Amino acid sequence: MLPSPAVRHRRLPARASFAAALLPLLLLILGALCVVACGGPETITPVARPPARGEMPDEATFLAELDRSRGHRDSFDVIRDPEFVSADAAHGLVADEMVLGLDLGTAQAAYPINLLNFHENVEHTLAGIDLLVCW
Amino acid sequence: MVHSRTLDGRSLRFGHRGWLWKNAYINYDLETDSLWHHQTGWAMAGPLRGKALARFPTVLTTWATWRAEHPLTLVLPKPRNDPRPSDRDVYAERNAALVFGLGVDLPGAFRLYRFADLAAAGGIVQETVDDIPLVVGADPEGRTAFAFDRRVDDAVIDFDLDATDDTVPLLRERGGARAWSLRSGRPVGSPGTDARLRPLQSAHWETYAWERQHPTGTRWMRDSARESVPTRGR
Repeated sequence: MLPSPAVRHRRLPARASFAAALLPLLLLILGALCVVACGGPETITPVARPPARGEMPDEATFLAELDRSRGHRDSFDVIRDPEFVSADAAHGLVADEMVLGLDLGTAQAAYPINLLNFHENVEHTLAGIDLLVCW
Repeated sequence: MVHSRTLDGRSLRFGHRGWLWKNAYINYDLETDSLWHHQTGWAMAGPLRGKALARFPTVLTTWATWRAEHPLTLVLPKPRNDPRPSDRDVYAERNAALVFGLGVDLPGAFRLYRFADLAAAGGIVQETVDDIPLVVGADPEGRTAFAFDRRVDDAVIDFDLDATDDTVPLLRERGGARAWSLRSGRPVGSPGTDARLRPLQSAHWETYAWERQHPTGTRWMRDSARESVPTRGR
């Protein structure tokens, strides 16, 4: 049975349907290109700097020089995968308090030193990067 | 300092070993129990010895300064019910008796700029180390410093430190119209460029600990005859 004329007019031709479906993707690509061309937030790339000759003792010397008297395994409880908050929601921070600041370009994080003093290490993921914060 | 935990395609997990090596804490990884220097990110012992975690540049600054530069920043929250006093620096008294500086890590060199030396030099030092033209600027607040590569758009820039507004200290291009924020390296009202200054890997160090950790490092010292002379430290 043929559809009524009203129904026939609501149906787009196949090529137009395809274009309509593709339009959001094209807009997204165009937007991304604009961000790149206009200088969107650059991503900071970490740099590995392995030890050069003479910069690290041999393993036996290192182990002999370790001071094992000041603590034990897990003396400090590492903060793992904490929930970060916005600047407005951060309580207990005062203006002249020191923070360790990390700028990845696409995301930034601040770690209060007064808190790091008790934990030394923080592990979390920011902007898809698995991080180890050491103090 | 902040390291990437991804090494050779896998993400490691770390614990604090509680041991010290020349005043630096040592971590261990849960996967291999190798021992890692917490600042350099070098594996010092164990199956991963010789490996290095990639590091991100970081800064140590006041909360007000950081927030002004990065209003969208996330923050590691302080616990509300922790009996430990996170409202103050428990090491402030100890640190007041120590001498601190900014240690800059370059691919082929380690260099220390003591804060007192930076202040005596007018707050800014420019030199070339390891073939990298760099600038180190002291924050007018006096508690930190920042290090950048001086190359912008393939040219080496000479800077002056402009701290007339200490809420927005700038590195101004000498003989030009461009300026960059000392605290972030981002261009500030700079016509003709949106290029950010590349931050160099750096960290706050107590001077004696830095010298122990960096036997091949050198400390910047102001020479009476020249503006700056690279000189080996103790």
